[in-house]
Amino acid sequence: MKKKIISLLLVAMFLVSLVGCAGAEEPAEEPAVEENVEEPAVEPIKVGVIFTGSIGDGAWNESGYNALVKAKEDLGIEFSFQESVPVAESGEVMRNFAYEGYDLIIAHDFNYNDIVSEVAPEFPDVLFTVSYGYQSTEDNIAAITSSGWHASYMAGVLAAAVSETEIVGVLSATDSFMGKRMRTGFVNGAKSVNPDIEVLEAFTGSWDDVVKGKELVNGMIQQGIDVILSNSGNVNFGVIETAKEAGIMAIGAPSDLSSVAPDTVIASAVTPSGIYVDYGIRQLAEDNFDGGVYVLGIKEGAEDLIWNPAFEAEFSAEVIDTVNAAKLQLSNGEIEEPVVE
Amino acid sequence: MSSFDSSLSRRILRMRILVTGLAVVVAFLLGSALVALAGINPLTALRYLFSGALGTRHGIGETLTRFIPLFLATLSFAIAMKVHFYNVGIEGQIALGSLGALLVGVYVTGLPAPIHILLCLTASVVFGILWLSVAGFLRFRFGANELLTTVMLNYIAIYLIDILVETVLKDPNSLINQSQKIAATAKLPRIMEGTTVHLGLVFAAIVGFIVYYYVWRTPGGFELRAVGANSKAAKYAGINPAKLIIIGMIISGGLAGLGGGLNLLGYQSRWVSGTFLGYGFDGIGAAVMGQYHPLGMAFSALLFAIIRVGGGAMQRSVGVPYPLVHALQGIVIIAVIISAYFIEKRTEKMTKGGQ
Repeated sequence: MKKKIISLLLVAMFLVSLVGCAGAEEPAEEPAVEENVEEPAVEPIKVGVIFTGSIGDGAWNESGYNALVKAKEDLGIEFSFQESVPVAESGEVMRNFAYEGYDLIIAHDFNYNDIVSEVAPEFPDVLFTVSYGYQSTEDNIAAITSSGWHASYMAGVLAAAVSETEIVGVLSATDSFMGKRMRTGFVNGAKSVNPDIEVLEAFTGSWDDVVKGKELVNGMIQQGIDVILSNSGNVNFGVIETAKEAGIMAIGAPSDLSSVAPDTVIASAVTPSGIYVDYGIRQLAEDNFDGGVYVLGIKEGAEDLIWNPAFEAEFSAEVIDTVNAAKLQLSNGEIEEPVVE
Repeated sequence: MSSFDSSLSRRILRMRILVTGLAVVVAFLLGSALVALAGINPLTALRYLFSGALGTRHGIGETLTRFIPLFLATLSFAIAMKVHFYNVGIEGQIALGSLGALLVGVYVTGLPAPIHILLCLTASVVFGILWLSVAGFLRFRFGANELLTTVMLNYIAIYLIDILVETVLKDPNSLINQSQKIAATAKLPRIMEGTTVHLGLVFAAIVGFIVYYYVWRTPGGFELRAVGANSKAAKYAGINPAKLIIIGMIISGGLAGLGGGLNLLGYQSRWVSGTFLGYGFDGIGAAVMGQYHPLGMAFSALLFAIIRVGGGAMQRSVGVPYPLVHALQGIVIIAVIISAYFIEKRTEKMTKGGQ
């Protein structure tokens, strides 16, 4: 009997707490209603977004989410999203968004591209964008991607400008077309500053094999590099650690890694994914949405080199100018795309 | 005497349903409290959970599609439990079952549809059984605890299929790591216009009935239950427990494999690297909740499918973070397991009171 009373009490407590929370929730909802009353005529654009992982991942997905929040503030869109959607189930999520009346569906990963191609023809009135996508098979699909080498080109320019040994290194995770293009961009950037510079290239074959990344970079250090660009996911942290131990400079990618080792990371070659989200929304907001593949670069802010402020202050004006000049050339389209075998 | 017995067993059944139902209610209350902590009105969230999963034709279709592999996973776990074999490797057997269906579906061509489908499903069943028999072999040969071996085999299975899809099975025309699609003749037909529900639902219902009939209505099923209830007594009665455990294992692995095969042929059509289905793990919780009875498990598998589909709707509509959806499922499982303890105590008391 005693147990029964206790369990009843517990249930009652939960109910009370629920009602309490629900009650507390209501005032928060009211301003939203008022806003609607103010502008009844304008129907906001409804954007639904699908993420592969968590919006708090501190990288790709978070950057995309932040762009959504910003678009809500700047353009007054409405958005909702679903996180951690496996590719195999993403088609259903897209269909749900479409049935729920969303105007634009953003599939925030290139792995969703094939599924978007399958679903988009079913909903000709709904627009789709694929972040970092590679194909557009319908008028209502925009695959928005980046050059894939602008940022690493700038990293190459910087590395060559600050190298004293005239040997620099670049590490990618894969030896895929994208991995090679990123590395070749770095090589071309370095050679544009110093044609005699030696660039060592390597790839880990994994985004997570930290030990292998460390070994590869240690090998490069023995051959005399004094700057390394690492764009290989979690391996980056091992590379930066090795660089720190050996006292050489490192450039991080694809997000700002200066805070990981403020005395070692001189800059980061970033490719913020928010731009893909932003680009599609803006096209729609300006009533300018066309299907197709869009390649963005430094000019559009899809790629950039971000300084570690401590080093930016420390480097000579010549170094800074060289990097800025390269940035200008890239954004003017004066630099040829790297040739990847 | 017999009428007294049946009234007692009916009372026990009623108590079991009541306590389990109460556990689910408490779990939803706890889950709602979490949702409220995240600053979201739990009543609104719950409304979207159910309307998202059951409120539209598309939602119902999605829920039933997810139900198919979940239900087979519960059957798989329950059969193994009947012979006290703890098969927590269903996730891996589902993956291997998917692989079997994929291989036959993609690389065997030129067959008429029904034969192709049956061949694919046979491959699924065989692959599922083979994968579980690894754990079975380790148990009978070395006495290795199947709780450990099956759970480890899950990861090996998932990574194995990923490696294959990234290398030899990779679709040469695709930029991402995925297999080719199965041939049109291997696809299970859709049975509900405008949704993803496929013929696998009918297969699942038939299989559920067969399992029920076999376990509760045949001498073989009686032996199976006898071994599970008291293997010493069963041995004394002339039943060979080892043989029965092996039979239980074969059915369990086969059902899990079939679940993977049906899901692949009816829904996924291909394997994308990095896919984690989770039906095997969820199925264990749903089997406990359904009290290892096909009818009970049909309900619990449906509830878990609703949580899966409605969880997405909850996030899209009111922004309930996805981890909370997983937490809700976890709370349901924990509450139900705790309730199973109470049910056992209570059943004991009621039976004793009847003497």
